[in-house]
Amino acid sequence: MRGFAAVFGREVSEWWKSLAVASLALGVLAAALPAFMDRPEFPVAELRSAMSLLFAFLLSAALALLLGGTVVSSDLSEKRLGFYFARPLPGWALWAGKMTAAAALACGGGFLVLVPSLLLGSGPGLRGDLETVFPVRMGDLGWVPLLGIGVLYLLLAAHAVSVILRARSPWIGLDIAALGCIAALFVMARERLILAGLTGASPVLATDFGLLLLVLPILFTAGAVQVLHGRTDIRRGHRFLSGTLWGLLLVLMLVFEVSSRWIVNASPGDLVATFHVSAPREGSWIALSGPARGRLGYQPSFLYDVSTGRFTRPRFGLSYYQGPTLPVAFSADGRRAVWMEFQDRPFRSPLVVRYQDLDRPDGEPVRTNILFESPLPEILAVSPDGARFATIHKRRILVTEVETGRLLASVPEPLDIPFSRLFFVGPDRVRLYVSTGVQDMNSVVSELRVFEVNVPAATVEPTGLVSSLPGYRGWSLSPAGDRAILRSRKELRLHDARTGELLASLNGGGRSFASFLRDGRVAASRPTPEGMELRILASDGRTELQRFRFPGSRRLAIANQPAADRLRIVTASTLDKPRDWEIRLLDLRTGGVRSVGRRAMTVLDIQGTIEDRGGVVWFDWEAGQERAILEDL
Amino acid sequence: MDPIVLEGLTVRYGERAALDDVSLTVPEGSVCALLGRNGAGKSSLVRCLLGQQKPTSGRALLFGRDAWDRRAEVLHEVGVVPEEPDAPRSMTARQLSRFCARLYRSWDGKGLEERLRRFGVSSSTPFGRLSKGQKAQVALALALASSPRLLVLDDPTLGLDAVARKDLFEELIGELADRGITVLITTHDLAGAERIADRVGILRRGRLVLDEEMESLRKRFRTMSFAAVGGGESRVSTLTLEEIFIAATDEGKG
Repeated sequence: MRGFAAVFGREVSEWWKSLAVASLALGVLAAALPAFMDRPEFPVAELRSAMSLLFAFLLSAALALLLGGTVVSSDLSEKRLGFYFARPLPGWALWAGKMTAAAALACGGGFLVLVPSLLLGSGPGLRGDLETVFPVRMGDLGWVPLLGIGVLYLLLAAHAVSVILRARSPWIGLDIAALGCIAALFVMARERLILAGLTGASPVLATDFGLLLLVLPILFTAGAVQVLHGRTDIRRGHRFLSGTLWGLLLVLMLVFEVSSRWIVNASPGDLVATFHVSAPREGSWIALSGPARGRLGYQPSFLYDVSTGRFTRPRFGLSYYQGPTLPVAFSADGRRAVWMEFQDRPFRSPLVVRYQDLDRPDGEPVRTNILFESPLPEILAVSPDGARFATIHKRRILVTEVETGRLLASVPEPLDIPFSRLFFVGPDRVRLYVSTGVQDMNSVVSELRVFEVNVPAATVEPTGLVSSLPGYRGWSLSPAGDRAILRSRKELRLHDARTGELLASLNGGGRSFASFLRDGRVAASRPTPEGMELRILASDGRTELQRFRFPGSRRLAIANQPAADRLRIVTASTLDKPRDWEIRLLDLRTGGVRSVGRRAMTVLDIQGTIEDRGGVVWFDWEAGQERAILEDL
Repeated sequence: MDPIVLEGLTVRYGERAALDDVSLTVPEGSVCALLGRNGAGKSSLVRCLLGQQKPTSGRALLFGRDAWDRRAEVLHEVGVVPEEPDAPRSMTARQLSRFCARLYRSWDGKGLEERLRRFGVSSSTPFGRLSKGQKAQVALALALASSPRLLVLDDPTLGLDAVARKDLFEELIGELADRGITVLITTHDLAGAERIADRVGILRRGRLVLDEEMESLRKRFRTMSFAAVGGGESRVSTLTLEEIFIAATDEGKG
């Protein structure tokens, strides 16, 4: 330590007087300058402190570059380092002593700049708009460690560059090549994360900052190895510096590269929760997205075949935030999934339409030539056969062939109102439902206006209106698109989906539930004094065909219809949440009910169910059993 | 233990050998002059000896310890006068003394001041403003202030005028007489070296072509002189160190 202290003291004593004078002069200038600035909106004291901080930062940065580029390397190139190496002075003490002194001088010079302002009385810093330009405030000491890190960074980087340049060795070619390789590796790995959706967000910034922090010890180590092994020979030192610097940076970048690959190669089993799950009425594929375990908050999305475990990685989850209301749309037969995803960088590139044929054993996402520039489309619907899709873009309803990108129809959007929904009711008909008078998504809708697009004729015309439904909670369309069930807080109604005409009141209230069966019949539950009952109604919603009683149940919902004559229903004996649902299989022919287990669930209207914990459970109707496919999310 | 032992010391710069399998032992108390033409490998040898350069093969031992691996430790006992005075230009001799005092186990600051007074060198003048001779004198004073057991002088008189050379050697001779320090000196000042050296080594193209005690060398070359005279008048004609050096390093005649 005596050697370190001696070198440190010598370096400081060599520089401190001239630096102190220069720093204080700069500080006086910074303190005086606001008096001549015509910025009456800022108190002079605030401007003074802001100017002082700015000058302090600039001086510290300049000193770090100057000292980093000279304290060791100029001695080395001028053959003066031999003075130290001819003494009983360890190499580490020489390196650390000189660099620590340089860092102290650079930081100290910056702090001295602040002295005149502090003596004159300074304000906290800039406010208002200018604070965003120069957000550092005198009273917040959070910038002190950042200044220290910045000074060290510039100091060590300047030393490395200085040695490389002063050595005048042919190795500089390798330095440039190595820098290029490492920069390329960094950009590739970073771009991979950004393309995967870790975009503009704190994970990427944290990664950048973390890498910058890791580069600091690498720069320090490279300089130390250069001094310890190169000693007075600048060319030999250059070789050691370059070898260490690029070697360690290469290792760091390879780790970053491997990590980034690992992050984006998350599988469905890595999900710790699900933000979105959807599935077609048919088939064994589901779409899901959510955060993955230990991956910097990466939120992958998957198309996942629950029967085989096969999955692909579409990026529909990204477009979900700013793009279509539906992140992925399935054809009615479940054989095709269509979605939009960003072509390149999320939120900075157009949305491109992609699809995957789910019935092909080797099916992979296919990119179409259909692009949507900003503003991004808000909605996506797919025809029953999956061959066409419809969307609303720039106030026009567009119907396009998925595979060819051929535009089949483009009609103006009749109303510029959000919360629209599109449905194909045949290959050539697209229905548009526009909710008007919406207060918010879950409360009141005053009316639901219905329009229909005639694709061959490229026309759009109003076809109906559903009048006010207080306490609106949602609605669902029948498989054929001819009727709709509207749910409110107190009522269930069956409407003609085209004209909006009221067909029947399904009765019920808050605890009632209704759903269309595959053949168009309606299954509706309602409370009774003994519990709940489930009625199977004809398609007109009035004629009761069957009735099943579930005494002791307080809730009853229809999960799905795994076969024509079977319903999977869930019941709960309490109104409390989370509910412990009992899953039952109801045979519509015999009326037989078989319990297949209990689960806490949140999503019910797909063949699978989502547990409260976020796990995905699939109902294998052939085996008649629940199967957990993603657990412990 | 011998202060200096070189074992098969080899230094290569690419294909070129600056030192080629040099082995040399300098016993305690002796003054060894290492001679050689420019580029013979003297400076490479000194750098290896001071642990500033790693040999390609072989090793340099100072007091039995490897100079590369244990440089900082062994240099406590070594004073160094470099070929080019390399002290920081802004530091005065007094500041240099204070700096060095923190590095060595023992430091004779007063002796250094006294020596500089004898030299007529100001202790308060920045090193960069001193003349070349004064710089060499300061370097010698610094080297002696740690009371070293070994003094390594790398061409200390290079570029000095005759008076400065004389002063430096006289100081050295006085110091040697007082303390009996082991000395390794590389120099082109053969007359000066002849005054103090009791052992001579000559490097030629990186190889040590001669390593012999001065007395033995003088006798050997006196004999050769007789043989050359032959049957003529009997005269004792001893070659000077310069003539021996030229004979040993003259590449044209081998």
